[in-house]
Amino acid sequence: MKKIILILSALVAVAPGLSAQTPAGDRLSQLEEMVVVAKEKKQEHKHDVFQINPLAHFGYGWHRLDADVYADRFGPSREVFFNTITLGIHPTSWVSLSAGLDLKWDKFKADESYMFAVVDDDITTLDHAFSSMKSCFTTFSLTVPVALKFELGPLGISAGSEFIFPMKSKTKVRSDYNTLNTDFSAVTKGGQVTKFQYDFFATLSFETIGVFFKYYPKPVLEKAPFPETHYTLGIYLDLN
Amino acid sequence: MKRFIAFLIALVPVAAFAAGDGFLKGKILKLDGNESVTEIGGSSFSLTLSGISNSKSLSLLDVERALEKVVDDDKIAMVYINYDHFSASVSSIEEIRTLLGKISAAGKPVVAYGASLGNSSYYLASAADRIFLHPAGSGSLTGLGTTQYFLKDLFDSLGVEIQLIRHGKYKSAGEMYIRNDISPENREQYEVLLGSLWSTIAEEIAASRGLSVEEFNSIVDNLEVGIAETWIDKGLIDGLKYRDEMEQYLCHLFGTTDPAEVETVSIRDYISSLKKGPSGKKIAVIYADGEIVRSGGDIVGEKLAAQIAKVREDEDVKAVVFRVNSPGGEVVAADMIRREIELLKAEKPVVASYGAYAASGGYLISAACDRIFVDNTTLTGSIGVFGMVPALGGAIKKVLKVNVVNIGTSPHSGMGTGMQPLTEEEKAKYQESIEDIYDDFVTVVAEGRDMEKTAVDDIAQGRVWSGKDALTIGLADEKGTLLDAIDYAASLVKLDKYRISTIPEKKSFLDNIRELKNGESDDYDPLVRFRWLLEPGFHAMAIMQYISL
Repeated sequence: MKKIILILSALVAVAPGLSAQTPAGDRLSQLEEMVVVAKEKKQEHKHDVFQINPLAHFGYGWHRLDADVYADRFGPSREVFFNTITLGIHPTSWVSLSAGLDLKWDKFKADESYMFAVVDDDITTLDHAFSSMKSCFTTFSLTVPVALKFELGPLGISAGSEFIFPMKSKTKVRSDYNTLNTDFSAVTKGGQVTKFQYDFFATLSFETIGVFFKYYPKPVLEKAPFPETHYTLGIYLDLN
Repeated sequence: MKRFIAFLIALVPVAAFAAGDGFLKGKILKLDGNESVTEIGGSSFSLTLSGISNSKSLSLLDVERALEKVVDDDKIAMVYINYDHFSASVSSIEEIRTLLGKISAAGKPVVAYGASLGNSSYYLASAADRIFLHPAGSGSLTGLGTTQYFLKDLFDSLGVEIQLIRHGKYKSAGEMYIRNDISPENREQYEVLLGSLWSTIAEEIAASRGLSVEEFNSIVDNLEVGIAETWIDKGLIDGLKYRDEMEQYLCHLFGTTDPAEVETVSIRDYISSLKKGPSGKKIAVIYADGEIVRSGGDIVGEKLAAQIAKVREDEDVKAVVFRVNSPGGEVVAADMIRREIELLKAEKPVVASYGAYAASGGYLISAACDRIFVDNTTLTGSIGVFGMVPALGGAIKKVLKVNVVNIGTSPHSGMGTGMQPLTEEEKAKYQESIEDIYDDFVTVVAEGRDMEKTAVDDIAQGRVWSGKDALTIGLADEKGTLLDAIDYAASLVKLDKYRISTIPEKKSFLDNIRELKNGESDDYDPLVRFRWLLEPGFHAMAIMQYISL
């Protein structure tokens, strides 16, 4: 029994060698008998290196401005943006560098202990005691997001920076106090609005839907009290 | 325990098959029919009526090195040969076949394909494990033959007289000018020679195809192959395929249906990836390729002698392979080379390797080498001397109506002008020179081959021998390729790793341009070809020119 095991073990050990010693003619005979299964051709997604895409993305985000002393001073503040055009460089099908031109609206809602007001045609903020008054402040900006994106199948990851150029700002005050009837809005000069803003963002997408995170290291209002930094979380549609 | 044994039993074929790797993996090395293989390779220019033509060829050494590397190269899975238009001498094909055999023995398939087959292309293709032919292709096998032309009647009608002075009844070069038919000695020589060459070719082809030599010769003698189907019927090829079917066949061997997944590499590209080996220790391959002349030709005696002297002084060169592919030539030029080889041999091992021919002067220059490697189909020997003296005075008078008168200070001042025949006295003197040169030739061979002069004389007499017969009669030592000779030379100096340097080097396209522009000191002089008519020489040209395969 031991001898049989030894012999068989030796055969297993030398079998590869036996196979490698087969003359080429015999090997060809074996190969000719083998069946070849045709493989499905991989769909090669051809990509252009340079791409221009209009209306590449739309997004909706929620600002978080309640850090430190600004806790409870802001209501739901949002941003909406959409892309007008994006220029992308795609050296491979899975990495790209893009720059776009977006239109962005931000709305900051002041809560009960805070108020946006217009003083000398310019926006400012006030601490107020009128619980019936609510105000909001909106800006319209042109932004240039620059992003490096990696695509792994349906998953997309990108990170970059967005340069924000505020164009117009407006405040709106609403009061429920019957006697005051102070439902008014005013367009500000925008002098208090920080002229050049930027943010850092990261996105994660699956197919066309994604989530984003933006961090604003500069305050929206330069001189009026406003959170020094804030961040935004949101969702977006990637039509690129 | 029983389960364990059953497991081991089952494992044996699995292990064997798994190690057999299933489909082929790697690249296909392609030997394209449009390549030609010459001794030195490189670029050669020719000026033609339609302009300059530049043809490139591969050197046999590079091809052999490439094929030898394939044996152990895991990146190359098989060799594919397109045998159409493949150009190489019979002995080069013999050497290439040897290496293809090694590749096949290593388990790597060799597949050949083409559209027409002849003696030469089939000799090459038969080394393959599979031979395919285009369904509309055809070919014929006609054996070896020679066609000779005899010009005596033509010369007589023109008034040209040629005097042939020779030693060696088999020294047939020159007979075409003085006879109207083949001499019995010459006929005997050719019959034995062609028989020997053909026996090599037939035996190798028959062995490759699993036929007996008789069966194969019967196919040839009865012209039994012609159109494509006949080649299959006789078992000389394995199938008929169109080009797209051939492509699919190759894909199948690699387990795919997509040609884009099968990688090929041309032999030219593969050669360029060969490593040169470490510098500092070299084996020099010195080529003597062509006719030996004093100036204006393939092998210029003084020039090659100077190159050999340089190799002798080069301390990095540890051993030398003298690759001879020459039908002979002028006495003085050949002796210059012989002398330098003698001096070289005193300092370093010199191994001779013969190509298509190493005859007459080609044999003289290499007879003293330490060892001589031949191919079975090499033409060698032709140990003999002859000289030819034309007398054109009669022809000039008859045809051009010009009378030639010679005035001189001695009765022999007209000797060597080519206008008048030699007198009996002059002929006797010339014969004496021929005998002296022949004796010297025999002495060189006897000393080089360690044979008695009488024994050399018996096999000399100007007779041409095949390499196969040369091994039997002592004119060569071993059948082997150029690489075998190099390996042997390396073994004599105990070198495992070395660089091969070649002399002369391959000519590039730019080298040819420079020569064309600057001229060479040995520029080809068309009239130099007629020098051999006046001077004794070692020529076996007639044999080499007229044997066709």
